[in-house]
Amino acid sequence: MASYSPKSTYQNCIHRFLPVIFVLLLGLFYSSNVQSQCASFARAVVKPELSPFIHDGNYNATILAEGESVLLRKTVFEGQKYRIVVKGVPELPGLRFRVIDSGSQVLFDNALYEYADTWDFDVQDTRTISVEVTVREDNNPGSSVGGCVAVLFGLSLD
Amino acid sequence: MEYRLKHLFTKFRILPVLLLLGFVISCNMGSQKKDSGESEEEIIESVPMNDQLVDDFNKSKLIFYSLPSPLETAMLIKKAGATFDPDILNPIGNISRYNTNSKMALNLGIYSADLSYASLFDQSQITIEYMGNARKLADKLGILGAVDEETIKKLEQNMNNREVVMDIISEAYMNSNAYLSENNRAAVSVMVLTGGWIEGLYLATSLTKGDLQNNKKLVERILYQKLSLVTLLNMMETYRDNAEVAKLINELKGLESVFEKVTIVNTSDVEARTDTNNKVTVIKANSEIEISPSDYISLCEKVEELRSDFIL
Repeated sequence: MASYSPKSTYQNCIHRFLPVIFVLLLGLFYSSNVQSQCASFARAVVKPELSPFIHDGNYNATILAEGESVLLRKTVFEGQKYRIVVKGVPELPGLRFRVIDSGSQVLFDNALYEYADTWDFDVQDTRTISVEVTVREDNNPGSSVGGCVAVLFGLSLD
Repeated sequence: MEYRLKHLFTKFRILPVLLLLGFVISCNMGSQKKDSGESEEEIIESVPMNDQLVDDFNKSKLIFYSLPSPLETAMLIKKAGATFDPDILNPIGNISRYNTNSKMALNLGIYSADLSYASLFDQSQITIEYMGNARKLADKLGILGAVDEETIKKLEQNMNNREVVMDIISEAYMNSNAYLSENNRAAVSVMVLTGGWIEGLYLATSLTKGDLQNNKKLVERILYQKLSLVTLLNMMETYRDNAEVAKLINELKGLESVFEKVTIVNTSDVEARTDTNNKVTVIKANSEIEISPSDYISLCEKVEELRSDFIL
């Protein structure tokens, strides 16, 4: 016959509580570490691809998995040339990016250009554009990977 | 999954909540096991994944908003043929006034805009002094390593090389924003961006002296900031639960109503021509933008009012 004691119930709670907290803290540490690696990836790998354009200084990076998308909205200005670099970590299958006008017209689709990760835009009228980035899905349905994706803008000095 | 966890931690400042939640779950786990036969692992996984939280995560993941950075704004001012005026910068000595997080964040953006403007006009000494102020504010905000002694030294050594100077400025700006975003302080990052954007707008409007005819190209670029303000307000809405951001939204709504006097008419469809060899796409369209002289004065005054509120 089991006996009831407040003390043992409390101890049971604590014993069950510790693994839960451990898992949660591990998740917090892991997620923070991955984000930190994302900034390093943007700085060390993506930013140099902007050259000879100068990085505008904005930081746009996140973790995406296969099939997931992110949208970046930005106003681009007449008379300015921009370079866009859209890059993910090597573990990701590859990225598709499209530049879309506020009227939903597709202005550029890298799928038509061998999924190029770098492209220049000569803007002759000020407007707000969206850059839609999607992680392509590979052909292996059994595995799904995620990783950092960064979208950086460079400015031409001309 | 990592991103989902990160979002949850960010959105709800969730560690204390999770500790409490974890404790409650732990205490109830025994009976749940008996009742449902679920494994411990399944129960843990089920905690953060209710539909509302997943929806919130999906919404926040969906869109980045990118404002013209201080560097881009300074380039737009210079390309419009404007000149350098040291009297319109936020005085260096004002830094002693900034003791709250919101003031420090706003003025980190403001000093970043000032130093970007100074650097594009080859104002070496001013650029170094303003970078020094940006460093102090970044330190006070606990932004580790964004601007350090090495950055200042590198700036001093390369003052004659404008490209290197611009690269140093953009790197420092990115480091600040990346650090804040990574450390669940995105609301502070939004305030930095807001300060930088308002200062860019203030510099530009001051240079036109409230006259539509003074520099038509610059005036046009100012008026098109109506589009950037939409981006800024959308960005800020994500962090409305922060009291300081909510206050800023209300202030910027006043500016939005003045910007409503600006009319933008697209007079042609947008056209994109891609040159595959040079990997460049030309985006072409025609639009017209207008404001009355009196409304332009109101716009300049509103910008000055907001900026004064930020720097004092």
